[in-house]
Amino acid sequence: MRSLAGLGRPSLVAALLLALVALGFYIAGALRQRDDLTAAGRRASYSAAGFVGLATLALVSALYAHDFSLAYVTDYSSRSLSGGYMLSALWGGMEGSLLFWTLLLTVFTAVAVATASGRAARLVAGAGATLSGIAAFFILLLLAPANPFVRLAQTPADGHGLNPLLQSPGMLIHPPLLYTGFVGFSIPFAFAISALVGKRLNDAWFTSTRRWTLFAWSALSIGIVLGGAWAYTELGWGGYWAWDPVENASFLPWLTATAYLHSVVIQEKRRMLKVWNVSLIVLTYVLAVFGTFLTRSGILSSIHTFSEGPVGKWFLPFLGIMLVASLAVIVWRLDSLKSEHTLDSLLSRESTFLAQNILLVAAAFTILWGTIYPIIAETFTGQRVSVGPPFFDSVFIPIALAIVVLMGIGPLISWRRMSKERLLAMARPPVIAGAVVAGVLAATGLRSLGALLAFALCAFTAVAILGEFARGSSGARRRDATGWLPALATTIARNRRRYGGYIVHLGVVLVVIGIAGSAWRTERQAVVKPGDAMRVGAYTLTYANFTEDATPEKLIDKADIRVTRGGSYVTTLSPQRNFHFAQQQPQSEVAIRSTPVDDLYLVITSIDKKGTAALRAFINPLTWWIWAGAVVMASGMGVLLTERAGARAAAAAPVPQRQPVTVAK
Amino acid sequence: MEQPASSSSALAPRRAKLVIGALVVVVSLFGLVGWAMGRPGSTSFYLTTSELVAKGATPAGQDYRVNGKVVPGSIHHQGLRYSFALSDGKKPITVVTSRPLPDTFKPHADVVARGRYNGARFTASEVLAKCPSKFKPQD
Repeated sequence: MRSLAGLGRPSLVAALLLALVALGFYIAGALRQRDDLTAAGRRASYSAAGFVGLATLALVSALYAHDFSLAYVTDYSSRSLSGGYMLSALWGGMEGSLLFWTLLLTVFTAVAVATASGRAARLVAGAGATLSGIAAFFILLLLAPANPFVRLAQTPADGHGLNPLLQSPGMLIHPPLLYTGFVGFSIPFAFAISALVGKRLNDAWFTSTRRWTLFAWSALSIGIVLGGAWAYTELGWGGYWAWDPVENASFLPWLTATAYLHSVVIQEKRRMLKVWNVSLIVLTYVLAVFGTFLTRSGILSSIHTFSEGPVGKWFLPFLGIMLVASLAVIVWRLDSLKSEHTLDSLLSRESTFLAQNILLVAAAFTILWGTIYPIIAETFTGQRVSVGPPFFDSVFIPIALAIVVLMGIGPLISWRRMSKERLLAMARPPVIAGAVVAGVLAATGLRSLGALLAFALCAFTAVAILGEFARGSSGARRRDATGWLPALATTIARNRRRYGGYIVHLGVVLVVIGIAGSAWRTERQAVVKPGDAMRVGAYTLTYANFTEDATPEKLIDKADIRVTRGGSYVTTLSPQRNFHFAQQQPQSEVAIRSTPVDDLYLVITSIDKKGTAALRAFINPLTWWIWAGAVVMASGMGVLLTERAGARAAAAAPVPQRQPVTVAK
Repeated sequence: MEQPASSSSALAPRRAKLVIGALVVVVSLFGLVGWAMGRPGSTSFYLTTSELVAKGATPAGQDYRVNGKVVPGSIHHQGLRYSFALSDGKKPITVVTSRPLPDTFKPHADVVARGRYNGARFTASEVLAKCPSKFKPQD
């Protein structure tokens, strides 16, 4: 098979020219208010996407054709790499992942400018210009410092192969989802900038891009969870989240995007928080780009390697310009961003949204602080410092628990204002549920204050949300004279935004329960020979059998561990310790038995020829609920994404403003 | 015509409330960060082996991260307990640990050990591959 690698660079040059042409047409179209110029820009955007697609195809074909004359192909693949993972080599390295990023950006741009209609159509020129400018920057990166099509002087016979850790099904979907999320935020960002610059600050910029925001946010959410699942099943340390800078980089835009998704609702309903909303979408986008850069620049190992690194030198000015220019535009339009209303009462749904927003942004800033503190410390003191998980746990857990409470108060409280008595009456069942859960757990000997609070608050919020489903469907049941399930279905279908949101919240509650379960975590380590037994928690692990096999890629050492509990057989788990020939590196394959009660997690950390193994066993209670919660969240996102445009307009209708009280006393 | 005046005077307490609210949020945020930074294990010095030797024993309640390359021929183990020498090319130190070693652990591997130094030996509670996020193949 011949490789199309030769097409790569010319395609990128063509894409760069077309992005610049598009930029020119969009700016002219915006300045002269001429739709024909904007339409020409649109066509240039489609072509730019086509050429970036061609460049991506060139790299993918080079990977599949084993064209080791390309440095990228040599560095990230090998002849023995199996087909599906060849595709993941596309985002296995910096150059390839930036190319993939650019592909997503240009394709999303093409779709967004093609589908914008109604009031949003007038924002296309400005949004297109913004997006084309960003695309031009990324294509420039691909042509100069991050060129994926660099040829080697001598073509090696085989490549170095893909890092074995990346050869996992999760890595086929986790990076594309994260990138879809990161890049997806560029669409609402660009429409916001367009609205600001063009002074068209009605709600068209965020209502018309709501689906993009939801889509990007959903992809990012699922991507983050899959990253955790990948870490859990591949890395073998028994956990799923380590507050690694790379993880934080994906979490930061998620936090601000979640805040944004909620606060635009206030702007829709009450015409408030306009400055806040444009600032949040700018912040989200800048953090998304920052995340891409953080994971792909080498800044993490040291600030020095970063500033010397070829891509870092380009990225930092780009980030700076975007941030400063966006803020300048916001300040410039501050007059047009005045709130039309004010908060009526602290006891209102608006104020829970506001509090939630403050908490999410506070979480983002504290995590950002912890992530970049090593860079700051090294810059100012020359002393390298690292920030560990205890910092992040300490700042994030209290904030997260407060957000859980707000998710419970939200459904209980009404828009505008509510009497204290009514709120207390509504809150009674959830509060009782929380108190009962806390009491029972404390009686069974749970002493971790954080975990007790977490379970109690989750019970409070779950009952509050379920109560809302019960109220909604009991109304529908009476009205339509149907059973509970059809009533529930119609309730959700008729108000997808509201109930989709509640489903996502229920999923979050389950995730929090799964995380809080780590309070009961136990771990044992031992060196075992075939025939030996060890105990972990209530389980007895018997090392039944050792086998060794070889494939062209790796040597596989497998230990069969018979698991019993109270004398009765549970299952047999077979953790492996493999040796990958291409990388000359061993890698552990974890074996997990997952149930809603607990996960039994086995990993071999070293093994010898006779099968004597260092076996590490974890019991991770309730971890199953994290993944279950993520599935619930994803289904809620599905409900949100299928909201029809008509329903969207209705949901967006502002809450009627009270008549000003003019009666004299 | 008196309306603007009355509405601006009604705005003043609202603005004051907003400023106070914002101050409370900012102060509690700084408080939270300051408290969290001071907790054990939150921050630790990141040193090379020769910097560690120069700095001496780890003070109580702290831990250090030390970075260096695994010295070939220095790896010994007994059961779960490993000992190896780590060096930045200038001054080597001896690291002991009974925690699992990273998959990339081998002679010359660039690793980061977290733990405490008593002036002679570094007892690691964690040994990580340097920058596991950088998926670049090692040469």
